Amino acid sequence: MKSIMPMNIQKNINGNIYEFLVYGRVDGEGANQLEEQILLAIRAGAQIIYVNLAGATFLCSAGLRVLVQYWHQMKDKQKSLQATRLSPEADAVLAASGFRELLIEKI
Amino acid sequence: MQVVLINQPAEKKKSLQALREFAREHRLPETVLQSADLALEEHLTNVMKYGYEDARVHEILVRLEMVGGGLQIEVEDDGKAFNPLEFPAPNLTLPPSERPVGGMGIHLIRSFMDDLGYRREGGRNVFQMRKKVAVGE
Repeated sequence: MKSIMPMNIQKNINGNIYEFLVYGRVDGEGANQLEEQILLAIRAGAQIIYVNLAGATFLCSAGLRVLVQYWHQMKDKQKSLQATRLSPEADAVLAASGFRELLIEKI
Repeated sequence: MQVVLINQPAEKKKSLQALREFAREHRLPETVLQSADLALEEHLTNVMKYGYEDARVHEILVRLEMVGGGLQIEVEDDGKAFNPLEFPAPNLTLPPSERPVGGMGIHLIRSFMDDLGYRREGGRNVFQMRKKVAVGE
């Protein structure tokens, strides 16, 4: 049985390219934290945001909403947000939601 | 096993701990635990977020049991009547870029669990979510 790990985000910034490495449980609380980080990146002028989900052991609809909402917001401004390196748990949720191809699509 | 929560998001941790303890006792496969974890998170979020029209503290009961070799989760709350089974499914034929992201919680419950049931009983919602456990899994 996998241990319960609260969500933790590490950030790599290279100019205006941001990568968030998400670890642990992206539940309602985790989704709020992820949204805060994405908003900070947008305000700081991020052109591309990668959300690396290789370490995400859980993804709920609140986390999915954050990804899709900011995918739209970035695209509307000719910028981009992509989910990368999906863990099996994140992959299963994105696939079931029908948003998988949207979020991993390269713009 | 039964756990009593109050309608505060932090309380969901209690149900997760109970679910994991139950899964350990009954040697449930990781895949069953993951599906049940997601379904319970989504349903409890909906109950806590949309179920109550006052600011009072309400109790939510979560019951876990093995029924017919599968896991059954029953959630009982005294919120306003809401049958998740009547909630419309998202239109997955629309291109994802044109599709609203709302309502995905119930869609995920439907996708990850095998069988759902709802009844309104004594002014309370009772929602059942079942997950089969395959023999030898």
